[in-house]
Amino acid sequence: MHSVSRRVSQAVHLGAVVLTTLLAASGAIAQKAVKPPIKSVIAIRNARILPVSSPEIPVGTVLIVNGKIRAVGASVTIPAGATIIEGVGKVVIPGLVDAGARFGLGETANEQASEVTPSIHVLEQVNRHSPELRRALQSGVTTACFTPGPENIVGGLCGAAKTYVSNGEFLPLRDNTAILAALGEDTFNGNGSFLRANAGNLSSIYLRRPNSRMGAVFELRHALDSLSLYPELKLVRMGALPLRIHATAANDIRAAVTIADEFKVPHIVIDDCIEGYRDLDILAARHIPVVLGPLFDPQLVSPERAATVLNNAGLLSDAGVPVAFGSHGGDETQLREYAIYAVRAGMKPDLALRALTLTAAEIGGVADRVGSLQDGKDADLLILSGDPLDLTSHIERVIVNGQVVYRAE
Amino acid sequence: MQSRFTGSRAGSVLRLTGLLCIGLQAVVGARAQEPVTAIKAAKIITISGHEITNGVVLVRGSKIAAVGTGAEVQIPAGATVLDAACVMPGLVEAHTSRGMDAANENVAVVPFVSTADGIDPVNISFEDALRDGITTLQVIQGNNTVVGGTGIIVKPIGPTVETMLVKRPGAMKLSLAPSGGRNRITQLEELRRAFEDYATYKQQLDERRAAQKKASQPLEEIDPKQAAMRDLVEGKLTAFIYCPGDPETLRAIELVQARKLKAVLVLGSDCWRTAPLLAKSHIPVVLDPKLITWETDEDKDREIRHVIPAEFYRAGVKFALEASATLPGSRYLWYQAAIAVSYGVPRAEALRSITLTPAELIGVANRVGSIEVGKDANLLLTTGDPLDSKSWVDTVLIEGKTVYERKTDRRLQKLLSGKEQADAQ
Repeated sequence: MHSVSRRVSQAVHLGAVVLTTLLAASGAIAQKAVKPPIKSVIAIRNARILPVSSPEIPVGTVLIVNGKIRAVGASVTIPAGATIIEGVGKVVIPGLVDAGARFGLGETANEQASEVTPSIHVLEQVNRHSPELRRALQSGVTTACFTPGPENIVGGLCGAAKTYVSNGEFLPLRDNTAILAALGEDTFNGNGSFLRANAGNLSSIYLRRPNSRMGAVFELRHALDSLSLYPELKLVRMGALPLRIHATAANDIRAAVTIADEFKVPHIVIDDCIEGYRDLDILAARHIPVVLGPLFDPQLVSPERAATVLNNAGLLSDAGVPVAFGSHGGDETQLREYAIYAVRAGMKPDLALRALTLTAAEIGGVADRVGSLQDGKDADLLILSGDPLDLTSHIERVIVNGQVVYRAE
Repeated sequence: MQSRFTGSRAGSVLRLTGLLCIGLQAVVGARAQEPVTAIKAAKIITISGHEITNGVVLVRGSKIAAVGTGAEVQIPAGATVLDAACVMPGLVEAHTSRGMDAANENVAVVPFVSTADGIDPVNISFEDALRDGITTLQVIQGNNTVVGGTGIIVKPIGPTVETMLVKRPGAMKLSLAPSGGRNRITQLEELRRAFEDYATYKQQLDERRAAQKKASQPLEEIDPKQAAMRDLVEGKLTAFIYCPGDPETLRAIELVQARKLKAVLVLGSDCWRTAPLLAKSHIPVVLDPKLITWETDEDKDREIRHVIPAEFYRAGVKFALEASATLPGSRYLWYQAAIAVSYGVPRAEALRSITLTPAELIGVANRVGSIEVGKDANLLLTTGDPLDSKSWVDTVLIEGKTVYERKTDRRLQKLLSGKEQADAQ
């Protein structure tokens, strides 16, 4: 069921290469190599290990060499001189991946210059000194897949980064992982008031379209049709980059799928997808991955979300839809709770943990680097006092690239 | 008796139970005029005492008749037997505006109003309260009015305020929060004046009464508008004082001590710094639903997570947790307690802060908040430990009667299944 996600992930690599060539002159892509500490060997032993990519190890060891995971298992030989972290009674899981992050972007998540801004790089807007990054990190989120906000029809290029900032150095994992588009009320709410406020001056730059749901669909269609204006959208039509479409209500989800079919966009991801449970068959048949979040209460949401179902994540994942979680502008410290709630409502615990880690990494196009405890991946992991899906357990240590970057007092 | 079981939520099983109980009464005789229910549970969380493994709670009529291990408590023949993984007292919310569509009066000093006149008893938030295991709540004014009026203590079962009522009046709501264009100083001054106005009135009333007594005339009754202020000043009413931040908390402590008020402080989420002072003055608190606040340590480029219940626990302040009307997660009292536990509050203390402690703060601890013989049979039968997020409230008993059953909760079924009509299956 996750083959689609893998294909998406491969497509992302291709897309990144193509885009790198395409946009080389802009100097936008600053992939900095992560410098691991020289010859560092760390072993976390006697812990319960949930590698996500392989079955649980009730008591085992994770071996980290120079910032990378080298071995995970019940009987791993620990080299002499390794730094030992005793894990008795603790649980080790991969660092969490926020599949749809907007923290650290301040007020800049939505570009106001135009409704269609596919060339904008969201990664360039992340404030690496933002407390939100550190709060996310201390809450277990080691990787964030940043997306622009959902107010533009085509918001821009998504990119993934570590939340840990070392000596002011931001660690981008991979830029240009997807292009974000949006449908539904976020794209037109407020535009009407712009119109009213500037009714006397219709040529005002503040006059924004669209003002309705159908207008939003028209704009997206128009953008995908105007490739000479928006060359980046060629990449999503070729399938080199996934098109992420922020769609909340069932009619917007349908519209997203219809547009993807119409323009033969091979890889789409639905963000938000609150009414996904109403379109289970469509999403499952096409293996369209979804990024759910933020955490909210069905009692307390807008009319657009009023019919929402507590068990959206469980129903989608049971139908075979790849599910990940994203904070989407909500509280960046509550990602783990999304999964806890999903499990309470009926999601299978192993899929919930996968949603927090590997599925998110796959959708975000960084599953070759993070998302599971596997030989060769970045040593990004969490040590918890108990089961990660138990609300009463807390995160004791956060490790990024083999370094303990947070320790609970 | 049977008709009392035929509330909207009680299904046919219950009706059958009622009939069985009536059958039992004929056999057992005079003492068992009231129906008897025995709840067998793998775990009984009594709150007031130790947790009991494989125990029984015996309910006779509306009260708890016995609690103990299976060996200690004899189940009378013919009693209705319910099984549960876990049983605990119904949760108690000391401070809420559930069911109030306008929780604040615009006039700054209105000690004479009561939430009894403002509650919508069929508001969905009461249904949710029941679903979430809350069986006793104080519905009280919001945080904007200087002297807001009095709350009432209710159980979340309509359809009228009368059927809900547990105790009236509850506490008097005071607020030191800047609001409606009035700053902190103005609000405090307004509050001082409210006390002074009452003192002036009282003095004049006493003088008039003295004259009336001399003249053998009937004594003047107290103005109903002033009666609530009198009860507050004389300590017959507890003051629930809202303090949004540390400065207001300090003024509130002064006020309570100077006027010798019986008081509970209702705190905003950023009040943890005053915890040691509150401990010293022995004033209990209701904590803000937002349990975590972050502070940036500029020197270390590090974020400090302040977990409010943990700060108050460490300082030794008696605290109750409150559920939120707007924050996801925090709408559940069990969630609030679980968050407290994950950051170091002992389990027993966290569970107490959503049951017996709030019951004490609203003056109904003699009736609710723990599983003790003689208390109201307000009980939750849950599918597992209350702090385990996978547990659900299966059955709720209020005063011995089953008022909620998960298996007949269509709204919940719909929210979980995604089917428009869950019962059509």
